[in-house]
Amino acid sequence: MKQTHFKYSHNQYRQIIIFFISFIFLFLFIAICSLIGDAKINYISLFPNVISNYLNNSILIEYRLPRLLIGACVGANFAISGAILQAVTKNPLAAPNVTGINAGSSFFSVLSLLIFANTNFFILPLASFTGAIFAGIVVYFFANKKGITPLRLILSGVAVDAFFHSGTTFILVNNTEAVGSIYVWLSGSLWGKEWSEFLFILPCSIIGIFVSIVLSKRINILNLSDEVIIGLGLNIKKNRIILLILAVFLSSTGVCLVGPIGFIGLIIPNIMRTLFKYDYKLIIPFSALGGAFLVILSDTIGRSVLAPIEIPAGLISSLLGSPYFIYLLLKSRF
Amino acid sequence: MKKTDLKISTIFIALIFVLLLGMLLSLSFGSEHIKLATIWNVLISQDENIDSIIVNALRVPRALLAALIGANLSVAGALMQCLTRNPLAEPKMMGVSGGASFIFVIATFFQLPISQNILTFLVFIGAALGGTLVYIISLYKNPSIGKLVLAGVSVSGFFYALTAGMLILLGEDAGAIYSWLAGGLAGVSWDHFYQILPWSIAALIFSFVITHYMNAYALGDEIAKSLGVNLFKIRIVLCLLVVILTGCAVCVSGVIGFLGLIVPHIVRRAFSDNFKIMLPFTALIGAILLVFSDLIARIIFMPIETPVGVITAFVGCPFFLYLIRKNSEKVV
Repeated sequence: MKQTHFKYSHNQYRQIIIFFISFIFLFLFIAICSLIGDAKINYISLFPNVISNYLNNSILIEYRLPRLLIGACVGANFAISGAILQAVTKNPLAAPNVTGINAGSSFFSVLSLLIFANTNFFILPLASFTGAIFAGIVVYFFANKKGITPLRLILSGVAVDAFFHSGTTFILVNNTEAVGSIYVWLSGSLWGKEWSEFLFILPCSIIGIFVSIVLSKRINILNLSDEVIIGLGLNIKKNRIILLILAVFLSSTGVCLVGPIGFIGLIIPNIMRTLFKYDYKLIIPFSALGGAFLVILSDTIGRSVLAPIEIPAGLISSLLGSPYFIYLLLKSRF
Repeated sequence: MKKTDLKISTIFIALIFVLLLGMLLSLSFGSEHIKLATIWNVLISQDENIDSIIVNALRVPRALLAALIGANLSVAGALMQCLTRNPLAEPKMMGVSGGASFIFVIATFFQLPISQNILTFLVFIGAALGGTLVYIISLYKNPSIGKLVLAGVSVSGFFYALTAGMLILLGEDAGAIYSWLAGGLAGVSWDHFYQILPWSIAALIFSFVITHYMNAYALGDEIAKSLGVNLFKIRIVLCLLVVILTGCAVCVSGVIGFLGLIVPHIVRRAFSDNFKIMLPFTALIGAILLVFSDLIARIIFMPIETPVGVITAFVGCPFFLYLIRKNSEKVV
């Protein structure tokens, strides 16, 4: 990874303005995407009082809007989580789904879904978070032998991922009646999301985004070489662990709602890094936006292309994401 | 030298007996227990009673297929590790199984009007597609172990998403398909056995024949060239063998991972890295492991069958992690 020389450009105001314009555009995008789907909306009837008619349309308000808003929050979570992981490991190819965190989170979620048949609103996120932390610790342990190398991190991530994945398979095969719905969830789907779930994810996302923006200065420093960090007086280990917990929190809250949506946490931060040159003060907020856009786009494609059958957003994002990932691999000197 | 030869052949023969014992046990155990003492009578009897049908039509082909597929996957792993000179190469991780199962799902679940032989052939093409993609990506610019693994992850991820998408489209019987994807030998028959037997045997024998060249190739490009090995030819041959061996396995049993990773490592440590000795042992131990894994998969949660791929992953992943930690100076 290149050494970072971020300078505080004098046109930072411009970037803040761009951010707010994109933020407004995100809501416009959500509104437009909510009009696309299997159940046709009579567009002409929405006029002339567009806003009030929109708010009175039950399909839009009760079904499509909550899932798209949840998609936006979850996309932001996954993207920031990926950005943090990539910065902390100094490895552009790290992401929640590559490092086994999502697999651990899904395994514990499926386990808790089966043990506590009535999905409690508190148990599922807790299980999801525990699984993610557990997977993270295992990966960290096996990758850490006289320091972590990016390669060892990826390899142990892949192995832990495979292990939890087969654990999930093991549970599902022994409980065939539950397979159908859990299988869709495991592919990362926004199907059937409700306002109550949005009220759970919204504060998680806001807190997560806020904390990561606050910590973004430290992320910038952590991205330098270890000698420089020590020279600047930052406790490497402590900050790394805090940031890893933050990344795990962000991705596990996403996973417990919509399942693992692959590749978001991998692609978006990489795109943003090419745009903003390792300045995490900008990479983090823009990654949040980019992740939100990509999940909404994937969900809309998944809902509408083969309607009435729904393809989970996670599969669409994998199909879009893996070619881009291969392109990154070809380009990188990893 | 003579003495070690003798020792090695003794171990080989002993392992053959272990394999036979495993197959015998897998004929006996299952949801319907058949006493070991009566197995022989059941095998040779011509009566059409239930025991005879269970043993002759279900369990015998299953045991034979487990042995054959175990040998196939392990040898495929050994060949891939030779080809890439990378101790972590393995058919499932390198996208070969992903490509093969993708084609298989297309052909089977869309019920394309093709014969079994053409299906096998198409699966080979899928395997070749996945493997070649990963291989090319990993060789581009700076080849490294990490690049190979990540290319494998992303190509398999792509194929997996396509496969899962099709399954959701078809929307029926997700449970059965899910356990097929996880790798299992449930419901195999003699037809499956005859379908892959000629391909597998041919590929296995051919890989035993070329061990001489593989030994030379393993020494590095320069030395291999000076020893008169045509690098291009040996690479193509190794690729084809991997594709055929893996394709056969996927056709019957879906994606069973980690066997191709563990077995060659165990053999290399226990015996020798000379392919002349290593390859036969790899085939034999692979067969033994899969026969016993299948036995465990069948009886651990009777009457529900656990996919055998889950059992191999439970054993294989910790082993993989152990390899990463242990060989961190040498390999990683």
